[in-house]
Amino acid sequence: MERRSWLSTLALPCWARILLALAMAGFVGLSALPAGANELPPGHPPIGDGMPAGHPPIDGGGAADDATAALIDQAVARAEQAGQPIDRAFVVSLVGEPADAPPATPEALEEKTHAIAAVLRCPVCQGSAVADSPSSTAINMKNEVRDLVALGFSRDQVLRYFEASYGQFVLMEPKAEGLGWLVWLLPGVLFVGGLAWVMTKVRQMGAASAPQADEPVPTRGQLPEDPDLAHWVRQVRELAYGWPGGEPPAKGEG
Amino acid sequence: MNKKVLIGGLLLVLPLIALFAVSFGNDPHAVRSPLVGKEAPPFRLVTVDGDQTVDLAALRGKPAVVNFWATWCQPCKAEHGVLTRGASRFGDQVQFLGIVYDDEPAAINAFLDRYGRGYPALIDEGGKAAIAYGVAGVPETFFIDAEGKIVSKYAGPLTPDLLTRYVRPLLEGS
Repeated sequence: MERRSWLSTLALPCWARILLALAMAGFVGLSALPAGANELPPGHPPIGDGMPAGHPPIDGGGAADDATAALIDQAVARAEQAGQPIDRAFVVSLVGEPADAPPATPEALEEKTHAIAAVLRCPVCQGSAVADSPSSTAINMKNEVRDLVALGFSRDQVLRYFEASYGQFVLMEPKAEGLGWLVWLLPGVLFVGGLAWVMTKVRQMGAASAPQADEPVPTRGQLPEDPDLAHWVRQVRELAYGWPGGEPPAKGEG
Repeated sequence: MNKKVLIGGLLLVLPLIALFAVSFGNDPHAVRSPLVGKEAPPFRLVTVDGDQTVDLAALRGKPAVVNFWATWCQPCKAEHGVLTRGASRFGDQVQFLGIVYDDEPAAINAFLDRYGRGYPALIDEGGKAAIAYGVAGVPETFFIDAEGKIVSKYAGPLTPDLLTRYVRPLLEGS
């Protein structure tokens, strides 16, 4: 009798609330993971190789155009020095003419490069982004991103360029299309389904433990009819609640 | 209740069984690259001795086998012999090219001195060619037809049988 009333009055809503809170926290945490997992906190300086040595200092304001031209020259010169310039025509044939203006400052270039590298998967390291991996493949890929950004290709264009050679696997966030929809929708569907299941169960248990209409509602002073049992109940009450003689105090006394 | 458990369990397990059933027959090395059927990314690379520049576009009209490899890659050692023999066997009809991935000229020359030089070894500084070809590891081999289109890609060391199987469609096409 005691157990029933304890369940129906106290524990169930509390338990359900904790379960709900946990489920929601988990869901929110999970859904936040793919987007933010590889990003640095705001204000954090970009991690990585920094600007190449010998990069010209760039002032803001009126010198922006010159600075931009210098940046492009730098990217091309670096690539040529490395043995192979970026095949701009080939990139354009895949993703179209550069959609953005090249970043005006080295900081902007580095910031944009890092942001793109954070959503590109490093193909030789399990599950980490290009921005987070020290492997030479990841460094090459990051340099490629930097060169493309310096030429004015947008984030979307750079990602499409990598996707054209590596496939969608190279994107840390699967696209919301085709089977990719499953990745985006399934957690929500499972969450709603699980929530519905838990709520149904909670309701069923609540209904089962609710006192029946024809059953006498236990009151706190009530004792079993069996005198022996009543004796023990009084003793337990005295021990547990500190009621003298096991009798409940009159209302208002505490 | 037991029926419910059974049905629930089956619902969970059946998709997995279906997935395994579909995947088991596949060769894990025969990678489905998004580049297959597309134009091969162009490259102009210098040979390891630095005396020659190879331009893929200049090879139009002749099929090509482009192999990405490295001296630090163990499977590449066995594969190198297969490709060298392949180059001497099919070399008049198919151009064999090796692009060395993430490596040093000294190590490459030592490797070639030891295992033989059957076809040009090209240096891919900065890995730009590897990125354009979506190379995720070495060895990886691309089979390019006479029109410059990628016909197939194989990830992993080629055996003589595999090489012949992949080269034959190139010969038929040309």
